[in-house]
Amino acid sequence: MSITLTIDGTEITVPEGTSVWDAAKQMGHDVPVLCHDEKLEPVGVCRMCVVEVEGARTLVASCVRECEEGMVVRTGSEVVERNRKTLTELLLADQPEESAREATTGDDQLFALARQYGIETPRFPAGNGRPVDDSSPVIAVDHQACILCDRCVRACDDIQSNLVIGRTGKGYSARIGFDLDNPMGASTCVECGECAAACPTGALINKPITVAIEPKPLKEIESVCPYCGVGCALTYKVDEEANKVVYAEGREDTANEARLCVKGRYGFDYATHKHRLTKPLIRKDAHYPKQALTGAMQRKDDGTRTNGVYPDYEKALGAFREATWDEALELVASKLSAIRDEHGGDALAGFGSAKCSNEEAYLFQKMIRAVFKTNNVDHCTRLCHASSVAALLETIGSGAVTTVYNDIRNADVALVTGSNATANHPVAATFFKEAARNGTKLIIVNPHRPELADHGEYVRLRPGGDVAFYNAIMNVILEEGLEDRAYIEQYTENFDALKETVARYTPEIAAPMCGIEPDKIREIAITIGKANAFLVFWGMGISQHLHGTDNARSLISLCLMTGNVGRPGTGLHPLRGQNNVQGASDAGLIPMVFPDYAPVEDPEVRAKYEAAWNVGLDPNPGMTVVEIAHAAEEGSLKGMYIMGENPFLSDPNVQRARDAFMNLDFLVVQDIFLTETAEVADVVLPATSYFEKTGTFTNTDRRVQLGQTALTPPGEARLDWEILCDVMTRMGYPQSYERIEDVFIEFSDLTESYKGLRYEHLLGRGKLWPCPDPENSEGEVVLFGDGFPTPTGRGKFSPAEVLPPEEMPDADFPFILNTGRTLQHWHTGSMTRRAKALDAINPEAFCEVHPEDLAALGVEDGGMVRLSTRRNSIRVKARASTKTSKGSVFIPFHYREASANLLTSDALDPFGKIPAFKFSALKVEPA
Amino acid sequence: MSATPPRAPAAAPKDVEARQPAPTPVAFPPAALKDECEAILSRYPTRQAALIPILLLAQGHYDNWVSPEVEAGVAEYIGVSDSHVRGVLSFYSMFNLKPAGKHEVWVCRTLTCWLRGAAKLRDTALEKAQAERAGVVGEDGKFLVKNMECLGLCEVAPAVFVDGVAHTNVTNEKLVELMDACE
Ligand code: SF4
Ligand code: SF4
Ligand code: FES
Ligand code: FES
Repeated sequence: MSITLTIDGTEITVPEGTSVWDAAKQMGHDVPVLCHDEKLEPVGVCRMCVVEVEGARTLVASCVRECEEGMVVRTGSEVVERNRKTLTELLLADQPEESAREATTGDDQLFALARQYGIETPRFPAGNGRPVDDSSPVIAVDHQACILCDRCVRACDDIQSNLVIGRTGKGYSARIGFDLDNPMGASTCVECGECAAACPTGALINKPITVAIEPKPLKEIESVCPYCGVGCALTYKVDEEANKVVYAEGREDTANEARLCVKGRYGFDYATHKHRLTKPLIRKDAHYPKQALTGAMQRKDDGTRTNGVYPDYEKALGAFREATWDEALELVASKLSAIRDEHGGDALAGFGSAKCSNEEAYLFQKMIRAVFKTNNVDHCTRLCHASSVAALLETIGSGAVTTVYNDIRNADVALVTGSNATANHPVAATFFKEAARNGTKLIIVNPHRPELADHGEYVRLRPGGDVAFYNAIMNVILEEGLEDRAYIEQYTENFDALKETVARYTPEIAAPMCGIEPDKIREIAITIGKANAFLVFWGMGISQHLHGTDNARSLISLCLMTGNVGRPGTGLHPLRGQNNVQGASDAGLIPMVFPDYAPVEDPEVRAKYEAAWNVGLDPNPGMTVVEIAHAAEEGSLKGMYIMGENPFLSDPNVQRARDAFMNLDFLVVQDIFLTETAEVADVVLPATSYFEKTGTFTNTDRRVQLGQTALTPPGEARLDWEILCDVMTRMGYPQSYERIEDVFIEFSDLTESYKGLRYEHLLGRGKLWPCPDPENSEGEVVLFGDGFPTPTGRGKFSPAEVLPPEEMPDADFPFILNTGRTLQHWHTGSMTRRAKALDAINPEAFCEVHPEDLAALGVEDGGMVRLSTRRNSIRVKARASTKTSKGSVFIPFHYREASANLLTSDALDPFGKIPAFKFSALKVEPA
Repeated sequence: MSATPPRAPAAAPKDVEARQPAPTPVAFPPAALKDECEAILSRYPTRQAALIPILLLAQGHYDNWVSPEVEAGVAEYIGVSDSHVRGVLSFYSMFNLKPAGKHEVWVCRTLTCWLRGAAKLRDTALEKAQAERAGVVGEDGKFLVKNMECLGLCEVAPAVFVDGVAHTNVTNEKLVELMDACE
C-alpha cells in the first residue's frame, strides 16, 4: 500500500511504513538528526529530527514516525527550528569544551549543529562530571561528550552482534557502560571500532595508530583489507606527506556493508614499521654455514620475554651486507640458472603466498613453470584448504564456494563446523550472528568451543570425530526418509555407495567415536533434514586433519543428499583464510594445475600454455609444500625462491622443515620484513607491502576486488611483479609489462572464470566470478542450480570411512594438541606483531588448558607449562579455559617464541597433502 | 578545531575507577532457587521478560545485593548480555549493586513528600543509621537508607518504606520508632 502526504507544501507518495524522515529525505530535505543513522533501527531518543505535523499535540520525531495518509508536515518551521536550537544548546552545555571528534576527524555532528544555529556559549549550567576512560588500546571514551543517542549500543548489538555496550544508571547520571560497567579495555569488547564509527560526538573516537588524526584533507584510497578471506572493502585515509595511513573506514555498498574487524580497522601500520627492508641483502661469506635462528625462540627461564617476538634484527642483519639491485638480481639469476642447468628444473621450487595478488601469483607460477622449468610451485593454501579443494573437485568439479557468506540470511539452518569464525572471519561472523538473531538456526560443531557457540546450538565433538558424526547424521536422515529423492535422482551419482557406507554408522555406533549422544545426533539430523535451506560453512577444523579430505567429503555428501546446493541459502562454503587464497589458487600457485585448475598433465592444456608463454613446459605435477621440504632435506632439491611466505614458522614439524631449508644450496626470499625464513636466505629482496601496490584479490566468496596503492614504498623496496619480471629476464626469458593491469589481462584471458574482467569492473563491490557480463551484473552469487561441472554433470557422492588419526594419545602423550589462530594476529605474526594496536591487545604467546587439567598439574592460571610431542617441546604460558575440553590443549601458532609448529606433525592427508595441524598427541608438564 | 564554541569550563572528568574485569559468574540458579526460577520463567513469554523478578529473587538470596558475579550468572542463565543486566539493575532503585545493610529504609524525596518534610526524615534516618549519605550503608552495617522517587503515596505524604513495608504520614518520632523496632 502507498500513502500520500504533504511535506513542506509538496505532495509525496511513499510505501506504507516509510518514516517521515525518509520521505522528507526523498524530497531532498535534510532534516537534522543525532540519534538516527540509516544503518540502524531508529529509536527516536534525541528529538533533533522533530517536525511539525498539522493537528498533532506536540512536535513529532520524524525518524520514528511513520507517514500517514493526508499528513501535513512542516520540516523547517519557526517553532521546529527554535526547538532544535534549544536542544542543541542543552546538549552542548554538557559537552567538554573541545570536541575530541572535531579535533580528530572534524565531523562532530553536535558541534556542526551548534555552528549552524550560531550557538556560542550555552545559557545552561555546564558539565555532567562524567568520567573519561582511556583503557582501550584503540578507542578513547569520554562519557562527558556522550549524548546517550544509543548509536554505539545499536552498532555493537545489531551490526556486530557483540553485545558489549549498554546503558547504566538513570536520569542525569545515566551513561553508556561496557559489560558490567567495566573500563572498555577490561570488557569483552573485541575492538572492532563499529561504535566509534557510529558515534556522532567526541564520546567514542579512534586513537591514533600512526600519526595524529587531525581535521585536514587526507587522500582517500578505496581498497580491500589485507588480512582475511572475508576481504572487507575499506577506504584508507592517507597522509601523503607523512606517507602513512592515518585511519581506515569500511566502505558502504559492499559485501561487508562497511563492517570491519580489529585487524582491518586498526592493523594497517605494519607497513610503515621500522623493520621494513629497504635494500637488497646478500649473505656475507663469513656467515656460512648458516646458523640457527637469532634470538631465543622461547621465553627465558625466569619468564621474561626475550627478543623472541621477531628475529633479532641487529644480529640477523649482521649476517648480510647491503647490495645493489643489479648485484642481487644477477646473483639470484645466475645461481638459480646454474642449478636448473646442472640438476634440471626439478631441483628448484618456489613458494608463493596467498597474500599475493592474483597478478603476483600468476607471474610467480609463470616464472617457476616457464623459467625454472618445473611445476614445483605451491603456497600456504596447501596448509589450509587443500583437502577441501581436493574433495570438492572430486565430487562437484569445482573448488570454489557455491554461495557467498551473506547468503546465510536466506538459510533456515546453517552449520558452522571446524571454524572459529569470530576470530578468523570476524566480519562474516557478524552476518552469522545477525542471521541467528533473525531466525536462522545455527549449529556449531567444534571440539574447541568458539564464541559463535553463544549464538546457536553448540555440539562439542571429540577431536577427529567428524566423519563418524556426519555419517551418523546422514544415517538418521536416510532412516527418517528426509533425503531429497528428486535431487539425488536428477543431480547426483554414486548414491548407493554412500547409502551402504552410512548404513553402518547408526547413532549408537557413532556416539563413542564422536563423543555425542545418539539422541543429540538424531535431533540435529532431523533439524538438518527438515530444513528448506541448509548451508554449511567450514574451516581448518575440517581440513587440517590426516583425513581432512574425508571430512570435507562428508559435508559435501550431506548437502547433496538433502538437495542443499544451488539455491539461495543453501550450499557449501569452505571459509578461505587468507585474503587471496581463492585467487592464488585460481592463478595456478598449485603444483598440479595451471590457472583455472587446468591439469598440467593434460596435453591440450599444456599446449595452450606453451603457446601462450612461448616455451616448453614440464608435463609432470610438481611437489607440494611439505614434499618440497622433504626433498630439500634429502638433498634432491637445491634451490628455492620464496615470495611472501614464512615456512620457518608456518610449516608443520617446523624444526625438521627449518633444517631442510637450511640444507638448500641457494635460497632467495622476497619479503617486506626479515622473517624467520629470510634470516637464513642467501639473498633477500625487499618487496612492497600491500599498501604500496595495486592488484586484485579474490575473497572467500569468489569476489574479485581491486586493492589500490596507498603509500610509496620505503627506500629501494620494489614492486613484487617488477622483481619477478627482472629475475625472469635475467634468467633468459624476457618479461615486461607496461602496467600491472596488463598482467591481470593476460591472466584473465587465459581463464574461464576471470574472462572479461578488467580493473574498471573491480572497484566498488567487485565482481563474483564467473561474471560473463561484468558491465551489467555482479556475477554469479549461487552456483550449480542446474548440475555440476563434472564429466557427467552430476555431483558424485564420495563416501568416507572412519580411520584412526595418525598418532593416538597414549600413556606418554595423553593429551590432544589443537592449533589455531586468534582474532588479533595473523599467521606467523610478521605483520600483526608489528601492528601497534594488535600487539598491544595480544602481546604474548599462550595456550589454553582446561581448568581441571591445569589444576591436576598443579599449575595456576597464567603459569608456565611445557608442551611436548614426539617431535619437540616448547614452554608457554597456560590460560585456564573451558573453551577447550578436558584432555585437549589449544595453542595459537603465531608466536615465534613458542612456535606451535615445533610440535605439529608433518604426516599428510593422502588426497589433499595437507598436514594434520589439528591433532597431535601431547604431553603437558609444569614448567 | 577553532570552530569550537567558547564557553564555561565543564567539571573536570575523573578517571574511571579501575575494576576487575570479567567476574567469574556464579552457577545460577543455586539449588535453593531452582524451582522458583523455573516457575517464574514459565509465567513469561520470553526468558528476557523474566529478568526483573529473577533478579529480585537473586538479590533476596544473596544478602540483599547483586554482586557482579551474580549479575554475570543471571545474565548467562537468562541468555542476555552482561550490559543488559547492568542496565536494568542500575535503573531500578530497588536493586543494590553494593553490599546492602540488614534493613532498608526508603525515604521518598519527590515533591509532595518533600514539601511535607521528607528531607528532615532522611536526615534523621541517616543519623540513626550512622551513614554518611543516602545509598551508603551505615557503619554498623545495620541500615541502608535510600532516596526514592515518588512512592505513590502522595495523599498520605510523607511516605517511608522500611524493609518493603509502607508507612504514611511519617513523623520524625515515628521513623525513630520504626527503626528502633528493627533487630
Ligand atoms: S569496539 Fe566493537 S565490540 Fe567494542 S564496544 Fe565498540 S562496537 Fe562493541
Ligand atoms: S574480517 Fe577479515 S577482511 Fe574483514 S576487516 Fe577483518 S581481517 Fe580484514
Ligand atoms: S534523530 Fe530522530 S529522535 Fe534522534
Ligand atoms: S511524592 Fe512521595 S509518595 Fe509521591
